[in-house]
Amino acid sequence: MQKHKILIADDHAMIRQGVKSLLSRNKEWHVVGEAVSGAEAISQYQSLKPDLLILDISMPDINGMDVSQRILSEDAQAKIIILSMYDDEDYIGRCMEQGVKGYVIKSETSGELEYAVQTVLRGQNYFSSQVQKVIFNKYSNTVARKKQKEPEIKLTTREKEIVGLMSEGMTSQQMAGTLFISPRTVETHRANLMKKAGVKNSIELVKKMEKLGLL
Amino acid sequence: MAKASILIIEDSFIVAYHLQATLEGEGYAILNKLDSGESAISFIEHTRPDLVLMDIMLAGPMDGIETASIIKSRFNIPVIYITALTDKNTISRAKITEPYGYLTKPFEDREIFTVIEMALYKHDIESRLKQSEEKYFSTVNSISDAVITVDRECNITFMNPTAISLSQWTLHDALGKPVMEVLKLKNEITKEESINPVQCLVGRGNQNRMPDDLILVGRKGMQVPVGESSLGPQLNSRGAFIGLIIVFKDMTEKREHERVLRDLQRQRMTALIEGQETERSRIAKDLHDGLGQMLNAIKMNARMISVDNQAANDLSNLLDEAILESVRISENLLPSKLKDFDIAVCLRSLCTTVEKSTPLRISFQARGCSFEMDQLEKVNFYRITQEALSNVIKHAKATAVNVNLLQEGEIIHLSIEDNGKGVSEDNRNSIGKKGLVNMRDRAEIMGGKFIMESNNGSGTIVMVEVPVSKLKVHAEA
Repeated sequence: MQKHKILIADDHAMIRQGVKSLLSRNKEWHVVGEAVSGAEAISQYQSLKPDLLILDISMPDINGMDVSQRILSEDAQAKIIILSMYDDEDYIGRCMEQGVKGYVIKSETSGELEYAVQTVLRGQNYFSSQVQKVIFNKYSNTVARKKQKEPEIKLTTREKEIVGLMSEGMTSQQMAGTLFISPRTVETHRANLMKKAGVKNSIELVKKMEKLGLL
Repeated sequence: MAKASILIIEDSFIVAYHLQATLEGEGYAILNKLDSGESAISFIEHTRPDLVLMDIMLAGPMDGIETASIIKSRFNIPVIYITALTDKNTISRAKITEPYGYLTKPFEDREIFTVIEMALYKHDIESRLKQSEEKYFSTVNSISDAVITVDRECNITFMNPTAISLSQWTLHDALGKPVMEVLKLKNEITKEESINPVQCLVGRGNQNRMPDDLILVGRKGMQVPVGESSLGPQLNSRGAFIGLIIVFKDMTEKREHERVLRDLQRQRMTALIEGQETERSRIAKDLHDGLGQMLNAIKMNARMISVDNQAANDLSNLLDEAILESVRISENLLPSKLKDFDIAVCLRSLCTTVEKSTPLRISFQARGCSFEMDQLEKVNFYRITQEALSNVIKHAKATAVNVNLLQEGEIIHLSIEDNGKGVSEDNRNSIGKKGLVNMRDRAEIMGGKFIMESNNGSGTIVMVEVPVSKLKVHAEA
């Protein structure tokens, strides 16, 4: 039976050693190469054409996310498992968006990695239990956030002054002169105000403030 | 003091002789007795008397009045006429030469002593006044400050050479013109134009100076920063207001000096902060990539020795703790995200993390483009937000914080606003002064601005504005 070819990319020899000896316990798997940097991972992937790439994120030259993006842009079916120390939603999210097939955190049990390798080689995705927890938390936080009522618009004294002057038709220059602050500061207040009110220009802003009785 | 020396010019030798005897009897020194204007002038060329007694009718072609006017203008020696002529015409001719006395013959001896003493005294006072006027005039003309005087209608009555050269006017053209027309001032900060220096005196309470940060626009368009001004009233001898003295300095050199100093300070700050961050980043990396990875590898190996062994499990748990700790320390020093994600992602993550550890509700919004910036600038934005949030937690007693990042045109704005109790001027110094300075320093080394505004009771807003162009320039440098 044909063995599965596996490429490991990690800049730490100890990790590569550990993964290699873990994988060697399964007779169907064969580690065909070890890359010590992002650039090596890409070139070895192209020359060795492995069935699976186990990829670290934090590497000195090109990080794992960029490596996987490059490989997946050429071959969307490429099987990549991220093996990283990062258990952070942004890292995990970015990797999933790019289409990696698996994600395992280095501090998890070795069983997780073995299972991930098996599952991904079968053509399915596998995200470890800890990764699933992070994804679930992110999802539930987003839902909770959406449920939160939009806070009412509350203006600072300075912002009220600025809306007042805007309704009188003053320019930022003139407001700056009147309030003894720089025109740039006025611009910042104006930008903040528009964001708070959820409008796109000054006219709408003044209208909305009038409607809310904040003028 | 020795009595004055006198020259007698008299064509009647009897009168001259009598005068000499009388005056010498009183102690005056008679230098000579001459009978013509010509001989008098050639005598004065080499010997200066303190006073001249002058007859109007003289021998020779010049009469006494002509001679006196030459003596006055060339030698500035006081002249007293002694004459029998009292006709209107003569007196009005004599008047023009501003004589110090006019004695008609015949006269009493005592009379002449009085007239002489008064003439000498008057001349002395006048020359002293003239000297002091000259002294003031040359002082005003030679100082590097610009001096301008205006009358009650604010028309220019005097400008010294510095004022002339800064305004690019000529004294001739400027005299009598309204000060606003000659002295074109605009405010560098508020962009206000046509500032009236006189109004500064009236409009700003008792401040007798113009605002700083003024630019003087010259007649030919030259722009000069001016400052350290003073406005003083010009009073006449009865204390009535007759005009205004405006004094100001050319600040070009001082501003340049200040700019160089600021640049130097910024360079030093940049080096300091950069050095600190590099060191932190190095330690964080060593911890994360070195120690952390090693621990992970050890753990992997330990598990393979024996899965069932209790001691191996304990070891594995200990290693887990060690790994977590090394990650925590490393992330505290420098979040690994800063090198892999843009600033919006990093700040969102920071807000989420902080929110988890406090009851504060932190909302984060990012709008605009890609926020392109280099590593150090990302770190600066991150640290400013971190510091601002930590101030909110420690001091503000707030329940909600808004963190906003937006790029508008060429400027990246970051604002952190809370709904807490605000910072009053009094306790601004006591709360995390180092933190404030650090935020300001970081904003400034990016070529940006740091603003903190607070209204008691209605929260605090910290704003940072950094022009994108400055970020790029900085990144190239």
